[in-house]
Amino acid sequence: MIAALHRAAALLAPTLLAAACANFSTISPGDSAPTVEARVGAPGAVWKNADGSEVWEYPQGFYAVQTFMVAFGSDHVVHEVHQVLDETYFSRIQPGMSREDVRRLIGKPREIWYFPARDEETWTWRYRDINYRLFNVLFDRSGGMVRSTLRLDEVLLLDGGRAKH
Amino acid sequence: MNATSSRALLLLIPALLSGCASFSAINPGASSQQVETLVGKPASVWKNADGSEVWEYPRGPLGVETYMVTLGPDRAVREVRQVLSEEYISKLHVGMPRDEVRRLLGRPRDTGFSDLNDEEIWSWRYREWGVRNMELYAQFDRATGALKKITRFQVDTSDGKRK
Repeated sequence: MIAALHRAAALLAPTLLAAACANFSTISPGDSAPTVEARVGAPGAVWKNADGSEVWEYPQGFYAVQTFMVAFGSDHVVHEVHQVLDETYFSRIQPGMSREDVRRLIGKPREIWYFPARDEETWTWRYRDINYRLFNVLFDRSGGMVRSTLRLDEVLLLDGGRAKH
Repeated sequence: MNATSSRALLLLIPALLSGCASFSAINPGASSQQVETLVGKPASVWKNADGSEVWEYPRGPLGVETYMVTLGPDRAVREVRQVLSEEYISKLHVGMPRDEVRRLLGRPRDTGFSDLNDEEIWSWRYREWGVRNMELYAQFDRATGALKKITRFQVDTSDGKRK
């Protein structure tokens, strides 16, 4: 009985792991759209370009620290796969950029907050850079343009976790 | 020391004093008038049932300190507390009502909201150990006004560039 349970658990474990982190490293340039869907599921959003090329966006969830962008050419096969929650992409965000510019560059934020007194809209992504961190883009809410960016380090609390989230 | 630099020094002293109103100069027993003379009028006054009062002095949005001056029923100072510190922030707990948070930490630097989760968000900036710039967020359920989540972050001023 116990042995049977162990066998069942062993069989379940790989399935659970695969579901928890869809494996984007298995996608190669030249793969077709159905192949991508079969490996990593349907995208959270699709960005279509005028030339027929597309970018498929895969945010990985609220506490996740990765978002993948799969770029298809006008030939409908994969050209590139990027993990965009990274300083390489964050550093491209400049004051004056639109909400769509930001969204297309680093994908859907985990949260959006409004601060009326400053007419500010804050978009937040969680990422990992040695520590877990938050990357914030601060928009002029009425104008819909980037004002600035802010990086915050998550702080480990050693006080018994009373103030832990 | 030449005349120019001594004049500069004389100018600098009042500038420094006005930059940080001297809460350290308020001693227990001082009168409410003395408090007003030293640090001006409070932004808010909280009256307690026993006749004592708490005068709130947020130094934000630019400052990173908030002082609470408690006056007894005799209008004499009992204590002066700087509440944007570990000692007071660690008293926050999930379920705490908004009013209680306000009385504990004073006026937030900023308030915002999240439509997605129907939350009201209060934020404060403070300094930890006198060296680290910290950001504190208190997220309240908008319908009940109860504290849902408390998060603290260290502000990275390097703008993503490696030092």
